[in-house]
Formats: sequence, C-alpha cells, structure tokens
Amino acid sequence: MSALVRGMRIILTVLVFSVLLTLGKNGVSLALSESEAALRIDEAETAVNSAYVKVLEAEEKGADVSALLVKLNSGARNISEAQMRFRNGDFGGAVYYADLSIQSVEGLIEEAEQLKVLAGDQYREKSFQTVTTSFLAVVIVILGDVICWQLFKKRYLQKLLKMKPEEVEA
Amino acid sequence: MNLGEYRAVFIAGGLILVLVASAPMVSLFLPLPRGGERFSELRVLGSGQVAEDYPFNVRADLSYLVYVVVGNHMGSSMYYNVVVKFRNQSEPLPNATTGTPSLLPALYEYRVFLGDGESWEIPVTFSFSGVSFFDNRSLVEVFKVNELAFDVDKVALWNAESDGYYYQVFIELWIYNTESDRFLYHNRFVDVLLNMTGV
Repeated sequence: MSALVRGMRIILTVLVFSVLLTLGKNGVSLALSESEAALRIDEAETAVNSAYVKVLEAEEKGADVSALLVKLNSGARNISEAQMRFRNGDFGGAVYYADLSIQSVEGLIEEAEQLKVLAGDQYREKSFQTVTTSFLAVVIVILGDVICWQLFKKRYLQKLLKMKPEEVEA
Repeated sequence: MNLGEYRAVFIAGGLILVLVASAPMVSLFLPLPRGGERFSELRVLGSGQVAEDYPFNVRADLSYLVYVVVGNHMGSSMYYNVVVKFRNQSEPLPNATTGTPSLLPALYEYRVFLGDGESWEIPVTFSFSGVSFFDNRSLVEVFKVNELAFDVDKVALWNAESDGYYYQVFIELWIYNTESDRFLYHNRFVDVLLNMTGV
C-alpha cells in the first residue's frame, strides 16, 4: 500500500514538474516574442522612414515619386497592422506584418536615389537651356535696341537737317 | 521731344525688355515663394459618404460605418498616421489650444503617404460588445474597429440633460516629422458622438 502511495506521489511530482516546466517555457517564449516583435517593428519603422526621407529628397529635386509612394503605402499599411497586433498582444502577427513592411520597401532607397540623380540631371539640362535661351534673348534685345536707336537717330537727324530755317522778322 | 528724351525712352524700353528676357534665368536662382496656405484636411463623413447620416443611437453587436478623409495640401508628399480612439464623456479630448493629443491610448491606426494635392478616403466600421447597464451607468467592454477587438472597459454615466449614455469615437491626425524622426500630433481631430441605447 505504501509502495502504491509512494509511486503515486512520484507520478504526481513528475506531472507537476512537467506542467511547471511547460508554463515556464511558454512564459520565456512569450517574453522573447514580445521583445522580438518590438525589435522587428522598430526595424520596419526605420526602413519605411528612411525610404520616405529618400523619396522626399527625390521629390525636392523634381522627380515624379508617385510610383514610390504606392510602395511606401504598402509598407505603411503593414506597419499599422503590426502596431495594432502588437498592442493586442498578437506578437506573431506583429512580426509577420513588420517583415511584410520591410519587404514592401526593399530596394526603394536605391530607386529613390536613381530618380533623384535622374531628376538632378534633367534639372541641370533644363537650367542650361533656360540660361542659354535667356542670355541669347537679352543679347538680342540689347543689340536690337542699339540698332533701332542708331536707325532712329539717323532718321531723326536727317529730318532735322531737311528742315528749313524760318525767317523771323526782327 | 528732343533727341535726349527719345534716348531715355529707348533706354527704358530696352531695360524693360531685358528684364522680361532674363526673368526665366533669374527665377532659377531666386525661386518665387509658392502661393497659397499649406494645410492638411481631416474630415469624417457618414455612411453615405456625405456630411450627414452619422451614427448616433448605437447598440451592442451592430456595425456602424463612417468614412474618414485626409487631404494633403502641404506642398510635398506627407506621411500621416490616422489614429482612432474611444472615450466616455469624462475622458480627455485633444486640446486644440495647446495642440496636444488626447492622452487616451491609440486603438486602431491607418498610416498613409499622400502626394501634394492628393486626398484619401477610408471606411471605418466599428461595433461594441460586452455592453451592460447598471445603476445609471453603462459599460462597454469591447470596442471593435474593422473587426479588430480592443478591450476598453469604458463606463459612461447617465447624462440627465441629454438623456443618454454618451461615448465618442474620435480620430486624430498625426504627421511624420523627418527632423525628429517620429510622428507628431498635427492638431486636427474629428469625432462622432454616440449614445449607447441597448444591449
């Protein structure tokens, strides 16, 4: 009888120990996934924000960034989902959406950089054309003005010379 | 007019034409300031996508629909965060004078990039569950936005003046600031007043 009780005690101890071990393991994995999710969301935020800064720079140079905004929006949507799932305690979902967000904006910095360079080149070309055209126009205006003035002065003086002096009675 | 006066006219005319001809070149080095006010717009529309038919008398486990519109007139692309919050009548709203957001936690959020001159409209569906009434109070345990459930546990006292248990769904607009590398409250919010009428 006492052997039976001892046996049952051993089984119960093993069972309790197993349950505690499982709970402990889950607690650790939960804590890990929370910190992991927070880290991954941070990474996603950094990726999207950095891409946006590059897109802004390209836009300032005059590039058409509408296609890049579509990709950025995909990243932004996924970050929202990640944040909301994180707040709701769904850390697995948060990591999933944070990763999706990072994927959405992959290569965007390079694309923005290319667009920025292209827009810079176009701006320089356009500026050169504007300066050249404007400069030529100024030269033509000045030359035209001088030539017109010379012609006018010549005709004016000729007209003046053709005039007969009036006789004025003393 | 004598010759000297004619000369002055030619010089003045020439100068005006030179100014006109050099204007495109000058504008490259001295960019003209952009006209118009820079601002962002935030509006909430009813279920018919117009400024009427807003939900008011609400019950548990029924869905209500509003539309939120964000417009960018800031002169360049902007990154917005549209934050949905839920309050009872005693909890703080954003302060328009100090430009500070409500201290209540963000529940649902939408992030969006908008080009200059673009606007964006998004449907927001919300519902309530775990609603109960006791001792002149109502309790909402769960607030759902687009099927995502949030434990809110909001208690509203009976408002004898307006005959109801009042709650508010409000939406704040935040904007990403590249210098501080974070979202800042953009001092704009819209709200929908709700009267909890039944379970």
